[in-house]
Amino acid sequence: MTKIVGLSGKKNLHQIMYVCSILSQSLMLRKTFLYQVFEKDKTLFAVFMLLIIGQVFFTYKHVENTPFFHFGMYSAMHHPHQTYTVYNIAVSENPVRSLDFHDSQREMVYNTIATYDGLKQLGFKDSLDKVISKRLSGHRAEYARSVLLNNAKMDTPYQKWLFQYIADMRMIKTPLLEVSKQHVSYNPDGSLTVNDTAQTLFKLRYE
Amino acid sequence: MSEPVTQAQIDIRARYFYLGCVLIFAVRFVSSTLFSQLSQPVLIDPGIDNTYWLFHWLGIPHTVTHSVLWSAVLDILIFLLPIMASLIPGRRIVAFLFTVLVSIYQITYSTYAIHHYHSLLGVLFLSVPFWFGSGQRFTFVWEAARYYFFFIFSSAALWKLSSGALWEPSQMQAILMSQHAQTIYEYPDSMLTHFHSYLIAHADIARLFLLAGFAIQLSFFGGFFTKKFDRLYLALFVAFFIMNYFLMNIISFELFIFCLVLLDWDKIAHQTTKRA
Repeated sequence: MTKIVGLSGKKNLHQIMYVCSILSQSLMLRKTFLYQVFEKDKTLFAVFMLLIIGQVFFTYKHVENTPFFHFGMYSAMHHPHQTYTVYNIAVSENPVRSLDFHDSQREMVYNTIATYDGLKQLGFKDSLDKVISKRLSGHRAEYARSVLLNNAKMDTPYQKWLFQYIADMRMIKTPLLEVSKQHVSYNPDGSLTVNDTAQTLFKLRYE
Repeated sequence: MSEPVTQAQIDIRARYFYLGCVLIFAVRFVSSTLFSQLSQPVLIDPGIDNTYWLFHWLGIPHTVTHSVLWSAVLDILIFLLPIMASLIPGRRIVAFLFTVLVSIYQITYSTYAIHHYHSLLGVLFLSVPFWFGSGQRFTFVWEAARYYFFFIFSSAALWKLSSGALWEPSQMQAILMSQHAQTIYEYPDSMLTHFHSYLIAHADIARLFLLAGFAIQLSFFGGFFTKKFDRLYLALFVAFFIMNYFLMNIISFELFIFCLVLLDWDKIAHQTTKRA
């Protein structure tokens, strides 16, 4: 016993502790889900490993690539803006407000209006074009542009689609749709001040 | 851990899961967002996701929304497949087809709604275990879905730490300002508007909600190590989404399908057998 406590004994003690830690780690490892899968179903283990590696890779790249998702839940930095854009929709000259729509329907309506607004400001130049130019060239790039990008030809079809999509749910008297935007800014008490008069994005009389 | 399940136990889970899916798509139907109801949409946003690009390359989102026949057939199948899968024990092929269909719907809807949504991921990931019959593989894939659920929340906590958003005093205030501009403008006198305006005016109090959300998300790391607290996580999960509704006006009820991975299925199977 005294020998163990001696100089060479200290070395042995370290070795024993090292072996113990390896053993305990491997025991812990054996309890893990992945180890159990590895033991009992090698094919499934390989699939899980591929999925984990894929998830780690795309997380590292900060890119979402289905089925490797990014769950930020508002983790990106947000800063207050001077102004915010709000939209007005009128069908048959009657205002339609955002909570008149169901949740997933509201996303369809307001997200596309914001995109349409952005495209109009850029002369219908889709920002995704830059990514296509980086990733592809030649005929492939041309084909990708034809299936992945928005363009000026979509201007009137979009207006008609929005009318149909909204009007389908309502009994309308006159087939008229008007979408306009305004800029608002926040007051110190959290209420809003409208900064300008409504600017019409489009007015459509559907035939 | 990971005991193989019997076909009868899988059937019980399938009944809960697929009937939940029918409910989810019934709400989507009422919301006019099924394939045919999208009314042949025009504007798209596939983003930089390669899988979305592949789907568009193959013309899938366009076909399933612009073809009257395809959109109608798929709308029927989105109800028919889960109903069939909830009833028949030999559901493996039906289950696989349902996963494929939900993937197509998820990519199609997100493309035309101009945002890559995650709300249907519970339906998508929990549909995978039903590709397999009774035995160990079903259990492993079901457990993997449970781990994925915990990954969703805990990774959100890590992102908040790594981006520094958690330390930014005006982060929550800025999120609320951007999120609620439209509703505060349209409904200046509603109760929720008063609540949101109050938080926007009091950034410190708004920040407490961000920290509470972060704490909940971070706590989900525990789920990787033990199942003892799954009932507590279930309560936290529900609390998180109630908070999400009042704070952000986001209704994430479709993600509630993930609750199934937190339930005690042995107990449910026992009670079902007892009743039978």
